[in-house]
Amino acid sequence: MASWDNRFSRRQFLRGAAGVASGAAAGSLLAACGGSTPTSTKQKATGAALKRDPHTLVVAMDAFTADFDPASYFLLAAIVPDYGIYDSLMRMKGNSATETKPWLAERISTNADKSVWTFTLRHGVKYSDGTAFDANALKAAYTRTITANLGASSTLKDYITDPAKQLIVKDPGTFVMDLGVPVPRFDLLAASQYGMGIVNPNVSSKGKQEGHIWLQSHSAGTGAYMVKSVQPGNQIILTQNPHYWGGWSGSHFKEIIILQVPQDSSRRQGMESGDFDIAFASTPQDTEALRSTPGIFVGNQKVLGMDYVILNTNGHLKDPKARQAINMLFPIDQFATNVMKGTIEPPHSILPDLMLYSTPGTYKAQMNVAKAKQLLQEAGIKPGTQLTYEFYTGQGDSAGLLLQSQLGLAGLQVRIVEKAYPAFVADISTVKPLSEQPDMAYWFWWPEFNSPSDFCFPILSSQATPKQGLFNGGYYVNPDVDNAINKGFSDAGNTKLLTNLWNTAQTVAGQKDQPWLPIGQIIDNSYLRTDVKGYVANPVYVQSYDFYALSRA
Amino acid sequence: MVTVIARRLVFTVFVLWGVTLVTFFLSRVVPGNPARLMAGPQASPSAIAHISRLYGLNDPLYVQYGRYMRDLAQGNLGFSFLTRRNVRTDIATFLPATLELAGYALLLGFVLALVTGTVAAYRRGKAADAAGRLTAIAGLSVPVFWLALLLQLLFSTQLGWLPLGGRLSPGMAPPPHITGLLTVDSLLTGNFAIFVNAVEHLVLPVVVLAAGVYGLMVRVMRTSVIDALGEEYVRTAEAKGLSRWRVLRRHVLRNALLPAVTVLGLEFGLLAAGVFVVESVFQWPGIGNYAFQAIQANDYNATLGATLVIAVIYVVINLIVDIVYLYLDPRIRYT
Repeated sequence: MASWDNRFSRRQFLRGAAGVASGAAAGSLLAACGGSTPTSTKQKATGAALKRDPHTLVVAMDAFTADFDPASYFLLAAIVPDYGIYDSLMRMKGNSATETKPWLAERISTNADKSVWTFTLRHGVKYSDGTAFDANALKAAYTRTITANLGASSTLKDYITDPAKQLIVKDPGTFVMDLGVPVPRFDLLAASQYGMGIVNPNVSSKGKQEGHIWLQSHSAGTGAYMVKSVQPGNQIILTQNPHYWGGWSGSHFKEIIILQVPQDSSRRQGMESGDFDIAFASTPQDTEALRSTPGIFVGNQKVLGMDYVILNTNGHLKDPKARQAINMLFPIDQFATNVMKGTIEPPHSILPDLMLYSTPGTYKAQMNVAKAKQLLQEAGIKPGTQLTYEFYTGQGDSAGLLLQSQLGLAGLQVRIVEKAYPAFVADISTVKPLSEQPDMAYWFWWPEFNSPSDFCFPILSSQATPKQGLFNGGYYVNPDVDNAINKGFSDAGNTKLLTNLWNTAQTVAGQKDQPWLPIGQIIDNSYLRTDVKGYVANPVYVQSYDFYALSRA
Repeated sequence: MVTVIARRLVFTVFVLWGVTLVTFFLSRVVPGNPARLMAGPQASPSAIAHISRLYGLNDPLYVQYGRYMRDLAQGNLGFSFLTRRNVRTDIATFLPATLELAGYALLLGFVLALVTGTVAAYRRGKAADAAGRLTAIAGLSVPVFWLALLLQLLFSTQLGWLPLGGRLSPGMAPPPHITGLLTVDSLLTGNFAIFVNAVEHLVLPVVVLAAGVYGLMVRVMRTSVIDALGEEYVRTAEAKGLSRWRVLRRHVLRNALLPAVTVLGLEFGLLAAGVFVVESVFQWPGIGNYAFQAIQANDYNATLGATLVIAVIYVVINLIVDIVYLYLDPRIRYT
């Protein structure tokens, strides 16, 4: 795969072909089509000229945005519009993964054991329909989120099981959450993009299901922007909220147009032609090319996300030695550099680098074919054994090809199986007979907020296997890891204890009893026009853009 | 003719029932839980169970199918998990875009093929014939996605002459909804700027989609015209001293069009397949793009609704083809 990528990319091929095709009709176009860079001379100097309204920001996303209800959405794609529409009590500060800043809560305080959190609310905040925001409205909003029992309900529901009792309105400006258990960094959860968006309580009057459906084409937030129109699968247009508490002095975009552009090549072309201001990353080859394209900035911020290959502990890879061997056969540095063109970084632990309690050095890529062969022999895996690797269309193919090649060095065969996303998800999150379980499967993960327990529970806890319908698809069970996860959820803020627990968990899972092959620390490679100012990438808010902070130079 | 149409309509009902049956059960045997996809990967099992109950996904398949058919009889195509809207609303939103795209593509492909195929037949064995056959093979053999990307790269990115995708430029408001066809609605409301913008957006996807129609139709037209030119009635007409144009129009084309019209009806099926790819590449908000997204997300009702609509259109077009046959060839009488 690496050699193929170095030799001839799909983009280069297309560019060359375009040159040939156009040559018959217009010889003068050959130079433009056959060159090594698709940008014109003018673009080389200054970037593509803007031929549209400069007060409108155009964002091109890769995925179909399906759900705009903060009580429900759990997909990265839904965050893009909703981050501009719905506020939360806190927000992450700048590009920090650990510091929060007041947002709709002006002040935040907690009791001694950090189980009761008090929020002093910002005055003068209104929803986009003019309804005033206060503690009563906040209680109604979060009660709706919890009782709706939709996708994102669990963020709060994990702690608030009885909203009537645990959500307390002290006065219109003061709101208290009694969590029942100590949560030392509840401020991080309060800043989460999942399940913490504050919806106008008037939506509840439409009915539970009706309100949810109404929110798919309307907005009801206190945020800077509100929905102007929605065309599912095509575009969403946001316009300024006239009641926004931050005001509209200064330089801001008047409208935000969010387009769904699933084709990688189209997003790249749109950036090159100046049609888009921001676009989700395309292929590694496109990203590499755009890094050197004038007028375009390519993001490079590490985020709280990991790419990895699940190693199934039920079948051939039951013995930890076999999983160690797989880790020793995969050239992670070369994968990140040559195959992924620097769009990911080699991982340094089983946790993302910027996560709380992440300990760099607890996972080290160590290519050692001889040692791997020995470990495989000790694990009873004979040369010629066939392992299966599963991935879903669009993600994980290159890692599979590299695995196939590298495991061949130890005499193993790898059968690569591509599946559609729904079928793939079913394979790694529902109980299947052993013969239908893949030995290895691509997956990636990110947390709801900066919490190693929140990150690890659904993918590593013994209570989160496909038997429970969750994503510990390798059926991994390790008491040290379970202990760290469970204590991390409920321990009373004993930082030293948690640090030790997570160090142990990362060392065990990174070196001895490996649940997976970590293949990449994810980087936000968003593309932005350089005349769009004010962009600050936050590692927790993966691929999110603070539209209010953005303006055109 | 009324009897023929009535009989075909009854037959159509059975065809469409078959489509619902096959699509319904096929979509259900594909692995994947739509409730999980709807809730998102980090959702709790209780939220997934709640969503499954909410949409009756735990019911036996025959119960779900019975419920679907009952709703369908009332014109209700169900709820889309993907868009969270009624599928009928979605189809009403997306179908006009596809009809506009496919309509212009059929028209362009057919008219070009008519001319090229006829010229190629009259110039049989000469350069014009070779050129016609060459372009026909190219139209048939060039993969749709490849041609789409190539044209985007050349005309949008390199030259900047045409937009990359979509139906209108970002920020441009569509004209008031009358037919849903932007080129028609913009003219009806007198908005020429929107008309021009819509045409600009149509050019590339229409050309890509028309290429396949053109490729097939040129071959059919060429063969049909050659056959017709060899018929005795053509020789008789020429012997009578009729002008070449009159012979072509009254005797050659009218007979040569019969197989072409048949193929045109069948071509719609191929066009529907091409629409899926073209709409995806050009971000065309049509039924193909909608169905593509729905299939990827295991959105049962949306998949079924889109399939049903495409099937209805296919059946109706072929019914129209049969009726046109009666006009084109009075010898044909259905028994």
